[in-house]
Formats: sequence, C-alpha cells, structure tokens
Amino acid sequence: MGKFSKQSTVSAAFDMIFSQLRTMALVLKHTFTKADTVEYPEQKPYLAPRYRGRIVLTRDPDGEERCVACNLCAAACPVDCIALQQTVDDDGRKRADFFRINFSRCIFCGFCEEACPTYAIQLTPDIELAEYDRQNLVYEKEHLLINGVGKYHDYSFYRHSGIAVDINGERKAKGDAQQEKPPIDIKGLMP
Amino acid sequence: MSDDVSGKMQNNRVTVYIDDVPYQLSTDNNLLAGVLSNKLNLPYFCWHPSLGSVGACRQCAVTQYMDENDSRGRLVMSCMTPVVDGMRIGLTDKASAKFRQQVIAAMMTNHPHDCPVCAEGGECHLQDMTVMTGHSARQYRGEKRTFTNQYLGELVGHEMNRCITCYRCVRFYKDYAGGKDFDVFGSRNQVYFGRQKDGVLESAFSGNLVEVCPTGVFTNKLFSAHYTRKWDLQSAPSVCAHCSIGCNTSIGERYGSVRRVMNRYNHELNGYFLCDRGRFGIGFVNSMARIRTIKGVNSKVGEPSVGVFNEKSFAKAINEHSGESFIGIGSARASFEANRLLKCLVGKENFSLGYTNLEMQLALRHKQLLAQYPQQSLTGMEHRVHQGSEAKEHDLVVLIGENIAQTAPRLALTIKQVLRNSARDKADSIGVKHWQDSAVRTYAGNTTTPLFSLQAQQSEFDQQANGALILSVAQIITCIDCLTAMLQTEFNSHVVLPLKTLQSKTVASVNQGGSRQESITKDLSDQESKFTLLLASTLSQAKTPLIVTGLSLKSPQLLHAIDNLMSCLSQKSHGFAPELTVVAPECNSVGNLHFLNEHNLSIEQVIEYCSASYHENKIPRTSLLILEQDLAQLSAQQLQQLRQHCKTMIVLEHTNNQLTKMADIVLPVAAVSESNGHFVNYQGRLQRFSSAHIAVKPIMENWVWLGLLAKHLFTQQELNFASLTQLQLFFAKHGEAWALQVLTCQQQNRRVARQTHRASGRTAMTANQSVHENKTFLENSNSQEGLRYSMEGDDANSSHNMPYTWAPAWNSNQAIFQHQQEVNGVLNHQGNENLLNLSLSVFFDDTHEASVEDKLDKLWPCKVFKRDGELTIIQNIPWFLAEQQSHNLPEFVLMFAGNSIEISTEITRKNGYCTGDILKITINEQQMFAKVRVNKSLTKNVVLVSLFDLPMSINNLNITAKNISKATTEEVTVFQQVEGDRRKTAQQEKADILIRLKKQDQTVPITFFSDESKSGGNTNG
Amino acid sequence: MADILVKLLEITIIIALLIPIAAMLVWVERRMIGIWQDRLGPNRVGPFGILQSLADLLKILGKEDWIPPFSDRIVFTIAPVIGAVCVLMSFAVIPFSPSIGVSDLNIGLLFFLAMASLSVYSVVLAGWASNSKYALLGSMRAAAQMVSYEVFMGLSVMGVVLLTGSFNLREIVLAQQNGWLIQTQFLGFIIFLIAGIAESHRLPFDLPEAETELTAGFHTEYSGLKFALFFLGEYLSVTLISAMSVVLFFGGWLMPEPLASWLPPLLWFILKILCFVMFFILLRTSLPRPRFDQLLSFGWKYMLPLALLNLLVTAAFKLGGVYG
Repeated sequence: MGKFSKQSTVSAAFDMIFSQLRTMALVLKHTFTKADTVEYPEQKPYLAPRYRGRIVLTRDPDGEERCVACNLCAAACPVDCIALQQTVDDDGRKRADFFRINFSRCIFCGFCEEACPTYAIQLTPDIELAEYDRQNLVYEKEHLLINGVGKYHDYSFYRHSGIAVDINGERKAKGDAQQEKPPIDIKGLMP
Repeated sequence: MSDDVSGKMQNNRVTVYIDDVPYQLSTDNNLLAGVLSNKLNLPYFCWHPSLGSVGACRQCAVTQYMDENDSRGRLVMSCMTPVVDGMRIGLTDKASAKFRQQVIAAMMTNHPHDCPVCAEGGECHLQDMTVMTGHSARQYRGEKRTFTNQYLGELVGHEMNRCITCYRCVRFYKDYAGGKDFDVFGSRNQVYFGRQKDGVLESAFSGNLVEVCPTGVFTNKLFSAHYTRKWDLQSAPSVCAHCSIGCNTSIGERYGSVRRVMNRYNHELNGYFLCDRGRFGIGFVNSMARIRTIKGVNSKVGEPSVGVFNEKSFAKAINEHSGESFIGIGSARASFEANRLLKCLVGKENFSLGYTNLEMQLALRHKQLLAQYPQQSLTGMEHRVHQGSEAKEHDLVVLIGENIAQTAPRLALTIKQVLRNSARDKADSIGVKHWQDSAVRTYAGNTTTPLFSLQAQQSEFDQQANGALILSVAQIITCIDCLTAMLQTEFNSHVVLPLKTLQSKTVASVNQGGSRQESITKDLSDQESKFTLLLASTLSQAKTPLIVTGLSLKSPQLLHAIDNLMSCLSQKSHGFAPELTVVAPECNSVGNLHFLNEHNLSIEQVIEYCSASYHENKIPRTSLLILEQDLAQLSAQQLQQLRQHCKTMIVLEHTNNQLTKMADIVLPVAAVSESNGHFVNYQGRLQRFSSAHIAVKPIMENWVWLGLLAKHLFTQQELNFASLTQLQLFFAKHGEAWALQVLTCQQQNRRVARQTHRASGRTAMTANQSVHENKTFLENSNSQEGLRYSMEGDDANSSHNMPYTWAPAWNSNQAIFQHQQEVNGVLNHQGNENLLNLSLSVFFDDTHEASVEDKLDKLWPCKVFKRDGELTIIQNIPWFLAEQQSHNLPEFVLMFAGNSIEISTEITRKNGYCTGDILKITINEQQMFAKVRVNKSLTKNVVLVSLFDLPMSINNLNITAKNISKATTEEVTVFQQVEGDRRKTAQQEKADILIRLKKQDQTVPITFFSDESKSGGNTNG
Repeated sequence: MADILVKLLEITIIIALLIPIAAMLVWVERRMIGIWQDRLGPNRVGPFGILQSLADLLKILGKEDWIPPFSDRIVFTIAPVIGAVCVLMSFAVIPFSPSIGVSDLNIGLLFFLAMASLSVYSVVLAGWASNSKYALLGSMRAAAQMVSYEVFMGLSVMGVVLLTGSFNLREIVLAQQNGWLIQTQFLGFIIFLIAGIAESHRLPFDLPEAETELTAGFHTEYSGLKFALFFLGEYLSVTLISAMSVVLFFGGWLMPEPLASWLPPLLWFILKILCFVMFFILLRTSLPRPRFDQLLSFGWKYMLPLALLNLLVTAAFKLGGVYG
C-alpha cells in the first residue's frame, strides 16, 4: 500500500484494477494455446538425454564395467541410498562386489554422476520406476549394469590409469597406458 | 610429568611473526613443527614428526623477512629452519604460495591417474596437500615415467608409479626401524624405492610404510583385498591384543566386519608407529576358526542360528548345571573386567589364572619386580632430553633373556631409537639439532649408545651390541649373579677398579663366598667372564642404564637374579638411576598380577582338585568355567585328565582351540574388536579398548556371558550388568581402586561418534534385506559408554580416546598434529594415566629371601631338575607367530618359512645331523618335525626351535636327547606334506575368509542395528 | 393438493438438477483451469473426462467417514448440512423462467441475504466442532469475512430495489424488460460480485480455507460424505451467486429481441449463469489470494463507502427523476 503515498489514490486504484483485469485477460488468452502436457502413457513426453532419471552403470568401449567401486558416489549421495563393496579381480580390475541403489530413497539429484571419476554411474531419461512393492525399488548391480557406454562414448578409465590390468584379454602392463613412458630399468647404468 | 614438560617448554618459547601475527613457537624443534604446533596449515611431505627433517621435498617453503620493513623476503624451507626469536615469516604471501603450488605441480607430472582405484584415496596426504596448495588442474601434457612394482610379501602392496620421491619410506624402514632389505635405487627422476629383488619385507614394521608414505605407493594388502574408504569406516579406539606393550590402535569396521587397524597416537606408548603383528594380526577376528554359534546347548535349544540369541532357552539349558561346583580359569588374553567378574563369580578360592606352578612363581617374581621398579613408557625411554624431563637419557642398554624383537616388537623399535642417543648427543655437541635427521646421521655415523645383549637365542641386536652372548638360561643367571657380585664389590670399595684387577679381585671375593658362588665361577667360561667384566665396568660408569628383560624364558630364577642386580645397582650413589623394563607375555598379563595371591590355584592344582572330586565321588562334582584360555602349556595327558575328571567344561572363547574341541559348552565370545574393557600393559597402565561394532549374536562380550551365567547358573542376580560401566560401578562401590580410576577417566559430557561426519544415519547397506529403514545403530538410552554407533555425538578428537584421526583439510593420519598440544606432544584431551596399583602381596612381607622361595615352592612346587644330557628347547618362532591369536591370520602362516630347528655343532657332531636333515621332536607327547640348521654360536645343550604348532607358552623346556631323532623316510614325506598343506590351507583360508566376508557384506544382520533391549540389556556398546 | 404436489415435483426436479450441475462444475472448473494453465485437465473418465465428477463422487463415498475422537460429534455432523441446506434454500426464490420458480416471495431478496448470513454458521460450527487449530482459525476468518462482506452486499443491491421498487425477484426481473439494471447499477454490480465471491469463499477470497496457510481451513478434519457436502455447498453457492447476479443485473431470463426468440427463456438464464461461473473459474486461475488484513480493510475501507455512495447517487437520481 506504500504505492498510494506517491501517486494519487485514484490513479493507483485504477492501476490496481487494470493490473487484475490484464492478468485475467492474459489467462483467458491461454484458452487458445496448445497444452504443454501430453497424455502420458499413450504419448511419451520428450526427455532430454541429460534428464535425471533411472541410474545405470555403464561399460567402457571395450565392454568392461566402468565402475571401479571407488565409493565416491556413495559419499556424494545426500540421502545415502548407495551401498557398495569393492573387490579386486584376477585381471587386476577393481569392480563392485555388490552395488545397490535404494531407489525408494533416491532423489535423482545427479550428485553421484557428478562425483563419478570414471563416467560409470549415469542418470538416464527413464522415469518409469514405479513398483507395487517397495522392496522392488532396491536395485542391485545386475539391475543397474547396462551393456553400453551411456553418454560418454570413448572414455576408458583403465587406459589412463597407471595400474596394470587386462584390457580385451591382453595385459596392459606398466607403461602401456596413455601418456606413459615404458617402465624404467632401475638396474640400468645410464644416467 | 606432563606438567613438567609444558613448564619446561614455556621457557623455550619465543615469539615468531607469521603473516604479521605473533605466535609462540618452541625453539626445540624446527620452524615447520612450530607452525604446525600452532595448528596452521602448511604443506609438507618429507618431514615427519618422528623422523625429523631432511629438506628433500621443498614443499614446506615459507617466505622469511629480514624485518618488518622487508616486503620481499626470501624463500626458506621451514623444516630446515631453526626457530629464532622475533623472526618474521609469511605463509600466505604470493611468492611462497606459488612456489608450493609449483612443487606439487612438478610432483604431479608423473603421478598416475589412480585415485579412484588407489587404496590411499580419501586419506591421502598428497591429495590433501594438492588441495591445500591450490594446484587444481594438471598443465603438463608430456608422458609419465613408470616403474614396475615389486612383490613385497603378503602384507604390503607396492605401486611405485605413485611415488613422489619424498624418501620417507626408506628413512623409516632403513634409518628408523633398522631394516636392511629395503633401499633407494637410481638417480634423478628415476629414483626407485624397494628391495633389491622381489621378496617379503623382513622388518616387523613394514606396515608403517602404509602410514608413512604420503601417497599410495605402499598399501595395506589385507585392507585392499576387502577395501572401503576411510570415510565409510566405523572406528573405535582400541588397544592391541598381541603383546604386552599395549599400543593404541584404531580399528575400522564396515558392513559388520573388521577391515583394518591403524595407529592411534599415544604420546606415552606407540607414538606414530605400530608393529606388523598389531597392525595385521587383527585379521584373526575374521578367521574361519572364529566361533560364531553356541555349542553344547544346541540340542536343547534347537538349531543355532546367527543373529539370534534366545535367553530363555539358554537359561533353561544352562540351569541344569547349576548344582555343580565351578572352578574358574581366567586368562591373560581376556579383559581385566572379565577376569575380575569371573573371580567374583566362582569365589577367590576357586579361581585360577591358568598358570602352571612354574608360571605362578614367575608371575609372583614379575609382580615383585613391578612393585619395586616402576616401568617406563616407551616415550619415556626414547625422548627424555627432548621432552625436557629431568631424567637423563639412557646411556646404556642391557637386554637380558628376552628376545624383544620376537615378543614385543614395538619395544624393539623404541630400543633402536634409544641406541641413537649418543649419536644425537654427538651431533648436539657441534650444534646440530636433533631434528636435523640427515645431518645427525652424517656426522654421527654409526655411533650408538652402548648395548649389551645376554640372550638365549640370536637377535637382531647382536650385531649392534658392544657385547652379545648366547647362553643357556642357567648360564645367563650365573652371569648375572656374577655381575651383581662384581658390582657389589666395586660399589662397596667406592673405587673404580681397572679391569684386570677387577677380574682377579672378583674371582677372589667370589671364592671367599659360599659354595654356591664357587660353582658360579666354575661355570663361567672365558668368553662369559670377559663379557661380564666388560658389562660390569660399563654399568658402573653408566648414569642411566636401561635393563630390558622378560618372562618368555619362564625362569623365576632369572627374574630373581635381575631383582638382585637391580637392588645392587640401586644402592649406587645419587645421580645413578638404573631402570628396568619387564616384558610380560600377553596383553593383560600384568592385569592378572592384580588377582595374584596365595589362594590362586595353579593349573596342576586344578587338575588335582578335579581328580580328587572324581575319584572320591564328591557331590557336587567339580566343573570348569574357562575364560578365553587355551591351556597350551599342558601336555596331552594332563589335558585328558582334566577333561575326564571334571563334570562339565564350559568354555568362553572366540576362536577354536584344543579346549573348545573337548568342552561340553562353548559360548562364543566377542574378540577385542567387538568388545569393551581394559587391558593392563607391561607398565600396569589400564587402557580402555572399545568395540568397533556390535558383535553378531549369539557372539557376546565376555562380561555379558559371565553376567548371564551369574544370573542363570550361579543365581547371583547382582552380578548381571547392563553395561560395562555398571560393572565398574559395582566394583567401585566395593572399594576397588581400579574401578574408581577407570570411572573417573571415562567421565564425559557427550558421547563421541564412531562414524565419520560423512555418515548420515541412513544407509542402503541392509536395503537388500528390507527396504524399510532401520533405526540406526542402536543406542541404549541408559548406556553410559563413551562412544556411539553413529555419526551423532562429539567429534572424534574431542576425547583422548580418538576413534580415528581426522582434521579439516587433513584426511590422512598426518592430521594428528591438529590434536596434539604441540607436535610430538600429548593429545589435547589427554586423560589421566591409569596405573594399576600392584602392591606387594603378603608373600613379600617377609624380607627374608629364603623364606619367600620356600613359601613359593610350598604353594606351587615346581623344582626343575636338569639332568645331564638333557636339551633345552628355546622358542625361535618368528615375531608374527610369537603370539597365539596371530596364528589365525593366514597371511602370517604364509610368511612362515616352515618348521626349523637350530642345533649346536656339538649335538650335530654327536648325532651326525647336518643342515637340511629332518628331525622328529617330541614335546609334551606331541610329535613335530623340523628342518635342521646348524648354528655354531649356540651352546651345546640349547636347541632353537621354530615350530608352528608349539605355542609360545612352552619355552625353555628341558627334554631328553631321546626326544629328538632323525625322521624316517616316511616321516620326511609326512613332514613335507604337512608343510605344503599348511601353506595350501592358509591360501585356501585366505580365499575362504574373503568369500565369507563378501557374503557377510550383503547379509549384515538386521539385529545388528535394531533395539533388542527385551532380550536383556546385553546389546549395548 | 395438486398444487402442492406440482410444487413438490418442481422442487425435486430443481434439486435433482442443481446438485448434478454443481458436481459437474467441479469437472468444468478443473478442465478450464487446465486449459488456461496449458494443461489438459481431467480427460480420462468418460468422453472428455465428463464422468470425472461421478468418479470423484464414488471415491468420496468409498472413503472412511471419519469423525475425529476429539471433536464435538453432533455439531461436527450438523455443520456441513447447514451449509448445503442454506444454499439450496436460497434457490427457492430464484425465478428460473417466466413459469419456473419455487416461490415468488415478496421479500425474496431479503430471504437470499438471510440464507447467506445463516450459512456462516456452517463454517463457524465446523471449525469449532473440529477442535483443531487450523479449523478454528479458518472459521474465525470465515466469520469475520462473512460479517464484513454481508454489510455492503446488502447495500449494493439496495440500488436495484430502489429502481425496481420490489424485493420480489420475479418482479425485479420483469422490471428489466426495458433495459438490464447493469446499465444504471454497474458499480452496484461490481460490489455485489465481489461480495458474492467473498460469501462463497472462492479464490481470491478463500482465506477461510487457505491451503498454504491453514491446510484446509475449517474443513481440515472433514472427510468422506461430510467433506462432500462442504464441497457441494461451495459449488452450489457459486451457482447461486451467478444466478443472483443474472437476476439482479442481467435481466434474468430476459433477452432483447430478436435474441429472445432464438432460445427458450430458461436456457438463456442458464447460459448467462454459465458465463458467470466461467468468470468465477477465471478469477480463481488468475488472481492471487490477498492477506487477511488486506481483505478486511478492502471490504470496510473501500467497498462499504463505495456501496453507500452507489446507494446515495441512485437515490439522488431517482429523486431527481433521472430514471423517470
């Protein structure tokens, strides 16, 4: 009501009335605009590739699991709905022994994806997660792991990392990774 | 003492302006330590509070200004700069900040992209320092140098690519811990830290590399195999249960299983380092040999299942035995409280410590020594001058009859530092400060404090020693007696005698004595008398000699001889302060001394008692209640007798052993990681250990079981306690001093969180079993314990019992300086020292020595007669197996080279054995096989054995020569098979344990969380 | 006798039509709001979702009719009935067409005002009987709001009475044969409309049940059939206020020629009502809710003086013979 002290009361009152009427006119105009919503189950809405829906674990271009079970996603998760355990396999790779997301608690904030250093965990534009039984919302690794690279096509963590692992059945030994020199012969006499 | 320290320190403080703000820094240490002591963040790598400075990494650069008008300044390495009054330095100025950032950038050029798969991630000093300096993006686009890794054994992993060349590892391993098989190779940016070739690290302290290394070059292999991040660990302050030193540890747990042990700083004891037995030995709590269900009451209770305990049916089953009269056998492995409660349950007349007659005598001698000579803490031995205390540093170390490297490795590490005292003194004389590590070593070279070693076996100290002898126990005693006599003579005459005359005079004076002393001189060989004379003269000139001995040789006479020696030394005039350290056999041995009196039954007496009641058909029949005791000293025959003659045998135990096999009822007891209580270390220090997680039912803490037995078996309701604090309160009300001490120490306003602040109280760890939320780790509202199973409560550092070490921006264990009053000082919240009062018992009222011996022999007769031709068995088992609980760690079993026996050349010649032969040895009716090694320095009747199945409690045992014979060909095959099988089984068990743990990860019992107060308040922490 | 029977039949028919219409309004409102907010609105049950109201009704009948244990049971049960009955009673005086209408009361207009005043009891009693904070606050607001707005609602229609010289609604309609009263009583119409919105506590004057502040205001504790009665009452009163506006200012069933001959008078009446209902829904979609103190000061400080001014000017013109 502070407005009234500046302008004359009458013109302010007219302003106010005009404002309300204009509002109504604007809303009325929308009688003729197309609805933004769609008839959902029959007609699927467009969801952008970066839409934050169901979480998946992706594989690297070689078809190996990207997840190295570093626990960063679980640490970043604000609702603590991720639990996992690391295991080291004979091929030198670290994998999740189990990887569990409790979707009944997930808030799809995408922090896990942001925290993931290997692009393993990704949110997908799939939103159809409803279940009749809450227990079915607990996804284990076999439910999460997909056979694809997700949004990042080329990245392979183990080709950058310095640890020795098998890639495509061949040993990537020390010095074989990208941007690595061959291992130093410590018994060599060269200066 | 801490008051003295701080008082003294105040005098050494000067004003230093850091970024124009005045701070008080101590001149006793370098500038970096001073800055850190003021809790300012300054990155560093090569400096270590305990290892000192070498100025290798250039990370701790600060700008030093001439005066307040100087705006330019110059860069100095703070770790190499002494503190000077009025000096002005800048931490936040652009030049030094940029410099520090560039140093990190340079280190990062070769650092691999490993953080996600590195076991150090999340507690990495390099990560912390990178963030601290602000180096956020890698600019370097060139290639990284790489190295191949080495196999360093089952305990420590090697990932050399990650190295940033700070030299800390080699400085710790080689310089500090005296390891010989690890070094630095190469030059410029091809520097390699490792062994000459792949192989197991020999040092007993290799595990410290994990903590010393600022990044992930060295990792804990056991932890990595079943890995979790530090922020996910639920930790609890604990005390190592693997020897009597009582190092403070921090046990980390996740998904219901123990993951690792880290060092927990204790200013008085372990400081920054643990031995590998303590660090890795904790694995026994996960072993397949753990008892996880109740045995013996099953048939009546129904199928036992994990996670469930039905008190009613247990009560019904156990009640059947309520008519029997019970003898309780305590143990030195169980907590002080549990032993106390057991004694209370069965009554003092029916209580045994599980000691044989010999061990009872030994324990009494031990108690006698402890009562007279206060034991120093490890820090007390090591840093005396630097801590500013009045006492002078030790100028002589004498090791007698205890292989500390085997029985108390952490003490051995301390002794190694004590031996450097004279090197520091020498450097100090030319103005080189003690923290100038490299300079001290360069200038002082091999200078060591005099060391004498008088042992029954070889030890790693022999090479460093000014005099080292390997003798039989009897000869050791003779030597000490002779030494005492020599010193006595010298002190009486008040003149320092030249060595030659001393020799003749001593012999003469000894000759004047009784026949006993005559025999002594007869037994002294040339070598021995030379050694004794040298030691005598050194001792007489020393100001503060440190004598280290122990109980592992099982000789009361040895302790008695030491007592005589000490009382003789103590007579010497003012300024002479001899100190004694006695190594006890197990983690709570000294605690048991508290219960020691003439009523205690020795194990032989227990057997007699049972037999008597059996043969006379007495009613009620005698039954046994055995608490965490394996009675490994007993022969098979004795055990059989005990089993047959007692009515019921109830065993409370955490791991399978010979007694659990024959017991009627076995109640699964929580191991050290799951239970609470106190251990009493070699000094008599009562130290609290807390559970890292709740034990999975029916495993329960020993005092809870004893409480249930009190309720249902002994029908003593007042001994059933809902919490350990109540138990302590009960004993405090009955006027027991220890309970009062413990309670005052525990008083705390708020409770400390076991979980890190990253935890939220919610978790998906049990979501696979039920999607419904668990009430987070239960908190019994009436529980008065100081720690909570959640992230709620005070910070970890708000009490002296820190569950884990962390400070903002310092995620690694390096954070400890933030919680110390100053670098290397006491903790901010240092509690009181709880020393158990071990007053002399009635035995020693009588000053007459002979009567004490008589009394002892009358109570617990154990005359050991050594017949001619008998051989003495001396334990030579490596340090990692020199304690019973660590036998259950497969990695230690894999490290074991195989059974071996070392014999002297005389025996070899007589029996025609040669190195490589397989011998059959019969000890306590048990046959064992071992490979022969001929050892020239052994005395003729001593055999050194390293037998897997021979418990450490059997030592210095005489056996007839017949008991050792050459193995037949079939037996050799058996031996080889046994040796091979042991490795195979260990490998298999290692795999099995991992499989079991992984299964457990996904089946964390929900009872683990939920409130079960209905089933009798036994779930609290 | 036959007269009574015919009257009863008429009443039954009117009620039987009114209640479904009110129910349909729920669907109309949701659908219209949907359209105006670029959504679709309920379109699943039946063609265009026309049976949505039926589905809602079935659902609400299936719900537990819960009476809170802490409430005053009898008052709690009576309150919604009062509300619905008061509104329905008002319809008795509405002339739907030249031949249709329950009663030609001489004091029809006063009867409407009386019924509107009575309906405040429904809200106050519901809030009181619920024995809960939100409900009580809601009913306190309702009482204050109704009392304030009734004052100038009555005053605003006095202009109409002055000009037509009757309280009988049918006569008022018939008096407009030469021109609707909106021409001369525009200000009166606006004030009446505003007061009417406030009386039926519709947005933007739905402070008694302001969801964001009071959960659901006076009917917080209501569920099932009783809640349905409140709901019904609200939509009936929307219809009632629309009907009254049409009767008082827009000539009821009357239409100028040639339009009048195109449709029967009843349909014209219904069409006019529908326009007002749409306007009500549009208001709800577009305008925000004022603060409660703003609502009251608006009523007392602006509307009441305006209503008085309107009456004064109308009376003066009447006396001055401007209207002839």
